[in-house]
Amino acid sequence: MQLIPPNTKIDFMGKRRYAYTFTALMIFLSFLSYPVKGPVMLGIDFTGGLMVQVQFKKPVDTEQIRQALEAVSPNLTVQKFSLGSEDYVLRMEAPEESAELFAKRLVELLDAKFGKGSVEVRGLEMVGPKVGKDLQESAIWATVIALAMLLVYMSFRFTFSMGLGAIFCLIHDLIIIYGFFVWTGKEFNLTILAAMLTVVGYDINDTIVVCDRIRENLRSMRKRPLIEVLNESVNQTLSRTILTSGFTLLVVISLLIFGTNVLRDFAWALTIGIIFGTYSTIFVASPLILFIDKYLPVKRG
Amino acid sequence: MIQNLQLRFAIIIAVLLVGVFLVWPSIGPVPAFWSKYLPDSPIRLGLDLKGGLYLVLEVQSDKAVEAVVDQTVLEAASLMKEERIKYSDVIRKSDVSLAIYFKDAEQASLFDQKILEKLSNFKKISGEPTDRGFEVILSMDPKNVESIKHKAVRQSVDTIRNRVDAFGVAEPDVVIQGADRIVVQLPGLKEDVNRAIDIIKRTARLEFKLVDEKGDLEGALKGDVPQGSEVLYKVDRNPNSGAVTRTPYLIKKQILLTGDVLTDARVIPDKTGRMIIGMDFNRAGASQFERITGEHIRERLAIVLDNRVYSAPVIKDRISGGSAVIEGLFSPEEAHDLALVLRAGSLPAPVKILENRTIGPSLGEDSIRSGRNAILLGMLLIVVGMAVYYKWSGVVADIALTMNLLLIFAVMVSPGLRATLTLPGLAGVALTIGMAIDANILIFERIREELRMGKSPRAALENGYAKAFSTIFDSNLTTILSALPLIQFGTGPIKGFAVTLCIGLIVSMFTALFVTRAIFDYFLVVKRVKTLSV
Repeated sequence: MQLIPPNTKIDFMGKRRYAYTFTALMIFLSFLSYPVKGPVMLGIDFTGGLMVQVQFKKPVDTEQIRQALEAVSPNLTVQKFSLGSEDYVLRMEAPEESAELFAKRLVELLDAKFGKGSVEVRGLEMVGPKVGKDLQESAIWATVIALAMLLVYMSFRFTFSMGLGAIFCLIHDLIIIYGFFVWTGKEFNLTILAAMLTVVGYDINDTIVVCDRIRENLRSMRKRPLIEVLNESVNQTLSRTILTSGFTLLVVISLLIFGTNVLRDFAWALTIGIIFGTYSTIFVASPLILFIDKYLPVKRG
Repeated sequence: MIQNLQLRFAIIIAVLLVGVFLVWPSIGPVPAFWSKYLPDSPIRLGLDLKGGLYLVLEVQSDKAVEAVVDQTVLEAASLMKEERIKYSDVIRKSDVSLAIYFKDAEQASLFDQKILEKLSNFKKISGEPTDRGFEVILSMDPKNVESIKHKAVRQSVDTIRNRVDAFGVAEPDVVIQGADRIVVQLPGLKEDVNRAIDIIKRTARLEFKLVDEKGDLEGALKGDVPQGSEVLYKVDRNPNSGAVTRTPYLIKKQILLTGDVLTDARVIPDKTGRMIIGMDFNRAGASQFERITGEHIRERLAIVLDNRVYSAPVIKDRISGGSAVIEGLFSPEEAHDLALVLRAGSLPAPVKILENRTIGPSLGEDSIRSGRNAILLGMLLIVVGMAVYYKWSGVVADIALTMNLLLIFAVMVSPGLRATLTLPGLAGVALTIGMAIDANILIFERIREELRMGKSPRAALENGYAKAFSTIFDSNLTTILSALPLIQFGTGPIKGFAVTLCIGLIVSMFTALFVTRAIFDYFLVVKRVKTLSV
């Protein structure tokens, strides 16, 4: 079976103006999320707060829950955990007293409203504001250090221009995932950060495969201009790029199907990351290398 | 070539056997001979999968330093009384310093000669006349401050370890994080979480102090507290009605004996069926207690726990034998928990809960189920997809992939590593499956290219593997590079994810390259297959 016929010659580089426009548009849309929707909704991992997961024995609705708990926690948010279950996530500021005692009070109030024994606390997470701040800091460091290490490695194994191209691709993908989370109002927590770093890892894979081909072809096609070498390399690896992305997407989709809430958001971040990672490998990385080459020419031969 | 191939298959089969041996205990029942020779512990599940309690505590180590200063204030006062040095006041000046007010400079120099060296933690930093008298300020060396704080954190860890041991959790974990934080993990905690937290964070500082019989309690309650004394309360809750009564006591600050001398504490019901706690002292504690009670007959000795008075009986006679009791209106649970924390020792400073994650066991079970189903479905889709797209070669890759999955779990349970499987870790496994197959896709695409150029199957295979290798190596290494910061910075579950991802990628280098190559060589060399089904 053959998805991409052999000797496919799509002129990706010739169409790079369209790619530039589309890329710019996507980045613009991601940034537009900020003035329209406000900052990304940070999870309690980063902001501090209390999150209680409860399960009801009978169907209730979020408004009823909010009413029952209004007295103790006016800033409460109630969210249904997943469709078809009676699991809810309650989020609020971290209480002064012990979180467990506070949860007990919540249960008493819910019992009073919905009948005794109608609710069970399945999980509870309390993060102090100090810890949240620390985590925000380490999250930024983790991302910066990952990107820096990759740039160094790429420059060492390939060329600096390829390293820059790859890192730009990664930042492009991260911006789009970020935009996706703001637009959809999904919560950005530690797990999503892990997903983003995974996308970084996955994406650099993709780009390296193409860069590897470029490096190889630069040796065997010495007389040909860089633009043709780039085009040829992207075409030669196209079949692999599409297949691997496809197979990985299959796994991610099964996470989307079976995952509980946390895993599902994780899988969403990966889905967006893989789709745009594949796009950026084909349409962003190579044109960028060509662009940087004007200023930092790749040594040939 | 054939011999070489035999060796390769021997390695593969050996690895496979070790993998099965390691993973089996996590899947099914283990026969008797098994546990005799091999580790039979199943895979270690993270808190998010097993349920349990995760706490981050902050040791308020400043308070431990303050306590040392407070103690020195009392010590200085009693030493000066012994030496008959005239002073008007000794107070704590800041967290790390204290001030003494003398009648004149002469008395201050007497202090310098006779007492200063006995207060080993402190240095004199100033001495000058003020309107309150001649003021001498003593301050603690920053080095000493640090060592007290450090010791407070280490001691807290030891104490908390002792306490959580009583919960009967299989693998409790209490570790220091950073300068003054303690992470407590209790996977599979069965007890009431509330009660467990109370036990962990209780300071449990037991002190024996005298009641200030001469001081004026009424005046003290109005704010005129005599020097060297303080007002503490006895709080009683009637177990039936729940009514709380608070009785004030004027207590001398001087600590005569602390709970450090306890060797045992246990619950004993007294004749009326009330719960009291019996305590035994060690030898030094017993003789101190005997001396104290002998010196203060007919005075009241208050038993103070975490700044609450539990009882203040009149000393009728010198008490020898080294034991005492705490009375109070305890419920059986309260009495049991109190005896437990007294046995385990006190915390040198109060702790504050910074982070608390409690996961119920039912939530963990749901997570395991969803993670397992996702892995199985993902696996199935890839196995079928590869076989359809690459025919027999795809089947070879599928064999390698299955082995990869087995080996990831084998490495995780291996005695040297004992990694913890978390919910994001399960996602990491699922993802690794997708990424591991990439190596085989790269190789097969190369082989197809080589075949199209008219190479023989053997040459195409040779070139395919050779040319794909550097790509596979680079791409796996960069993924590991991007996961490393997560291992370094991530907390529990995230770390679990990064660890499984790294293990999966390293293992995939073996399965996707070494194992598949051996299978191909077997068919081409031994079976003399003329065409490659790819």
